[in-house]
Amino acid sequence: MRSSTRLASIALINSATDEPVRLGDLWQDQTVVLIFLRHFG
Amino acid sequence: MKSWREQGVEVVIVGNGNRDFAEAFREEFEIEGLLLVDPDLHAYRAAGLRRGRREMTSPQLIGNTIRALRSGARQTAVQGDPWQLGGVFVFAPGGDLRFQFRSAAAGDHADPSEIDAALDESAETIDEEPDGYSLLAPAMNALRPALDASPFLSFDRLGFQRHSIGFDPADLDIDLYGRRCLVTGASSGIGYEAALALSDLGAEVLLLCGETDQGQNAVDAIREATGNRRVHLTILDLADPASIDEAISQLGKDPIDVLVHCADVLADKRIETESGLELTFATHLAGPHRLTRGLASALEASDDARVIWVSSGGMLTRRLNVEDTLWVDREFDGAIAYAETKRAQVVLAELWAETFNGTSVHVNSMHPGWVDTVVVRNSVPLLHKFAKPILRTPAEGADTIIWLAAASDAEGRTGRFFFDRQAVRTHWLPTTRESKEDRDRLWLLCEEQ
Repeated sequence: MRSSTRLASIALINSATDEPVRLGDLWQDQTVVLIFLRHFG
Repeated sequence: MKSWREQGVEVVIVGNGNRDFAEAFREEFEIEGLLLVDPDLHAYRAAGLRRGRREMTSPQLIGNTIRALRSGARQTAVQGDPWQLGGVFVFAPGGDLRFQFRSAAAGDHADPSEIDAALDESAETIDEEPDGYSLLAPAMNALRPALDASPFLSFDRLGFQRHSIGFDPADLDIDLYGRRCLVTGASSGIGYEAALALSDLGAEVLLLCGETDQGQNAVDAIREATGNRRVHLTILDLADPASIDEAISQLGKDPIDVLVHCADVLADKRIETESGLELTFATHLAGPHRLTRGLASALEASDDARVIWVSSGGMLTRRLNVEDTLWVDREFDGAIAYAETKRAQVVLAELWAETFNGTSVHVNSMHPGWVDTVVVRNSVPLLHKFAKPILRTPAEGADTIIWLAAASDAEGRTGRFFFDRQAVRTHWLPTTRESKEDRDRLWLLCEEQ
């Protein structure tokens, strides 16, 4: 399975609201730069 | 980031710590926009981002660190997985991937000009199709039955290499996040490699081991290697019914998606368990049967449960024996006890497949070929010494377990005996075929324990 397909189906938690966010919804209608940090710090 | 936002681009940051870490990070670095947390590394894994100590101690990292310090950057305390590496992806509206960058070492960053280029409307979509079959795969798979006429160049390492030409790389390009997997005998050898691979694919994995120290070492090693924190130890002595019942009470409350019966023993003398069974029979048959029975409801609660019995190619030389399984009236021979119970495991797997017929639970057995394991090393050291160059690694031996547990091609298949990802015959000799009465007797023997 392609990384983009896998990522689209995953939901992560919004740190500000504690609500789940499905990644695929983010780029449904807009361009997204998705940055994975090594860690917070 | 600001210029990207001015272009109407959403910038989303993902970190692997918890929410408190994330909000402190937002405040310290004045982050605007969406900040997501991924403490399970689910998205990191899906994105194919690397982790591991090797990358953290590379010469490239040392160079990157010196450059960062010269430019005034200072790292604060690490919050999250210290071994995880990062990356950057650009998605166009609708989900087309326009840019991907995965760090090869700490301090290895994406080139901003390349990201800018990917944001241009004319940027091309990246072709992400996984590698397909080898061109030789169809021919290799077609020739397999003929080339596998003998265990030599088949059960050995060369056999694995030949068979793997026919494997579809996409079969294990799969995300097991949300799947709950149990592996017995997971502290070393084939069981450990199976647990490691299932963890690496994102599953929650429970290692069922007889010894606390060895089991915990295995859990720690898998957590460190994969970054998967949903890896746990359950103490299980398959020769002790009370220990099995305790494990069932702990594990059977939630659905179970995969149960791998991998624990094995090759005894050099007859050992009687406290419940009066011979140790090989207890470990290979009575114990796993009781465990399967006790976890049946939890398996049926999964929409696609897979039970895998790890047998041995040595069973092909033996007929199912249901007489004197406790070795009371004959002189004990550990190798024969091993092969007989491994034959019985294959039959028992078929009987369990019939029992679960019409449910979501599928049961198969497999054999790993000739593998360099602790059991072989300790039990038959002379054979191990001479055969070592041709023995498979434990990871190669575990490959079919992982395929049966994870691959979509294995879904729904039940009651079969597998070797190197193909269903194969269970009898090489007409003299090893068992009767219906003997099969029924085996079931009763296991039910009675």
